[in-house]
Amino acid sequence: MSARRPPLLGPRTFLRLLLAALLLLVLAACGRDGPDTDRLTFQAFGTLVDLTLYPAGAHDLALIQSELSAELDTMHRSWHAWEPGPLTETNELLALGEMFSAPASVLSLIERAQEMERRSGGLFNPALGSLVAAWGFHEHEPAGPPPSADELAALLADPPRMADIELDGMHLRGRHPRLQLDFGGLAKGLAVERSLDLLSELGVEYAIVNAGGDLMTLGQRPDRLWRIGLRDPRGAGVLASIGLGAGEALFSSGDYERGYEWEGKRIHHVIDPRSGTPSQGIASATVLHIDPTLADAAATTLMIAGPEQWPAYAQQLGIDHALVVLEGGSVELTPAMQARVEFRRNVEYRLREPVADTDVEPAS
Amino acid sequence: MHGLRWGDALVVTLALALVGSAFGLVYTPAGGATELVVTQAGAAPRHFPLNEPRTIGIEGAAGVTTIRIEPGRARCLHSPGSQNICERAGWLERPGDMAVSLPNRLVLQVRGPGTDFDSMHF
Repeated sequence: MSARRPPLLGPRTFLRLLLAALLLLVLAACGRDGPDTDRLTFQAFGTLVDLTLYPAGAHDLALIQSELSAELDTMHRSWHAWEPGPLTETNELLALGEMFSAPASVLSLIERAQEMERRSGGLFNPALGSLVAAWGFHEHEPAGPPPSADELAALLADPPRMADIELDGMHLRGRHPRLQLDFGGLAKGLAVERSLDLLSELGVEYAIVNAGGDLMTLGQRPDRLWRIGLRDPRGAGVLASIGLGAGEALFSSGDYERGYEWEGKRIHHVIDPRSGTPSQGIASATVLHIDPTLADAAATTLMIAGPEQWPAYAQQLGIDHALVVLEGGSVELTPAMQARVEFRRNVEYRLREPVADTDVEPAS
Repeated sequence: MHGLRWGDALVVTLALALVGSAFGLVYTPAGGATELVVTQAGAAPRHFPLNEPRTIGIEGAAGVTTIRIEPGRARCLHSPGSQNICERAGWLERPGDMAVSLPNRLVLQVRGPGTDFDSMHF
């Protein structure tokens, strides 16, 4: 008669294994909501910069903050529209009408700005710095007064355009005496793009650079999409959430960003070159695109375009993903954007397909 | 060799209860806001539980931002700056709600279980 074989798993061993498994489950539950990213918040580029880095604990945060902050501040000084620096010098030389050697830091912005002016049929026009200044926005704390009707008429008679800058390699010539560059609607896009390049050079694989609310992703974290909250432009709450993959930029232009009260009326900083006055009808325009400079310029353009024409300008600029909040608070968005956002409150929205419109100034 | 005793059964029962409650706590659907997170340029984020009424002051580059905390909500009572953007945000009570004071370079955001965003677009 053969001896009885001992059981493969005794009750004691089974109990120990069970308790070990339960302990692992508890640890898994505890770890679920722990921060898996590092956050760095600092002042640079004239705004609040918020950096999200994945995974937590994998980066030299002090080095990243110091390098990125220095790079952003250099760009801010180079591109400032009214504080003395490379851009104000360029403006002075452009007004002289002679050929001159352009600062390299400004040249790339001029090229992008000329492209955006062409693609927007002139609605996006960073050559109108004098108009922005006339509304009091070349001040850190704008307070007015707005320009008089006569001043406005003079500014709008034969207005300068980006096409009035002659570009020959590294050399520039201004062909309009009142041409004044102001890259407020474009520079942050390029700054964010360069920040991502710098992070890559520093060995960062997964990050979000958020400069004053406008942001772009570097890579896609391996476990899921990046989760972004879209703040309601008319309140404190979150309007919607959106998942972003690798290399996607989200830029907005809004009437809440810079402005002042004048005789009971809110004057904001997005000036419509057609009327010379602050744009009307759209409280904020949000654009998602892989090119942050285009997203930045397009958000400004759609806001200026207004409630009727924004889908036509989106089509002309090659923007599929756009969302606008009208002054009354209602939401309009493209079908492609609708597929990406999840509203966080009850929102009545209207879908608008980006389509060509014969009333819109075509790209030149 | 001994079989399982009543004490073993007790240990297993307690362990199962611990696991159940841990998952229960963590996977509860998102409710109200439970903490205020104050993020300020150059400083580590500060966390304030939204449990009892109190008023706190945060020193910033342009002055003091005064914040009122009540159970489940918080608001910016006063902050430097001419546009009152921080104050106009009103009560922050749904997880994710936020107010910004650019002069003081700080962001106030209320959070709750399972509602954190990687970044906020505004």
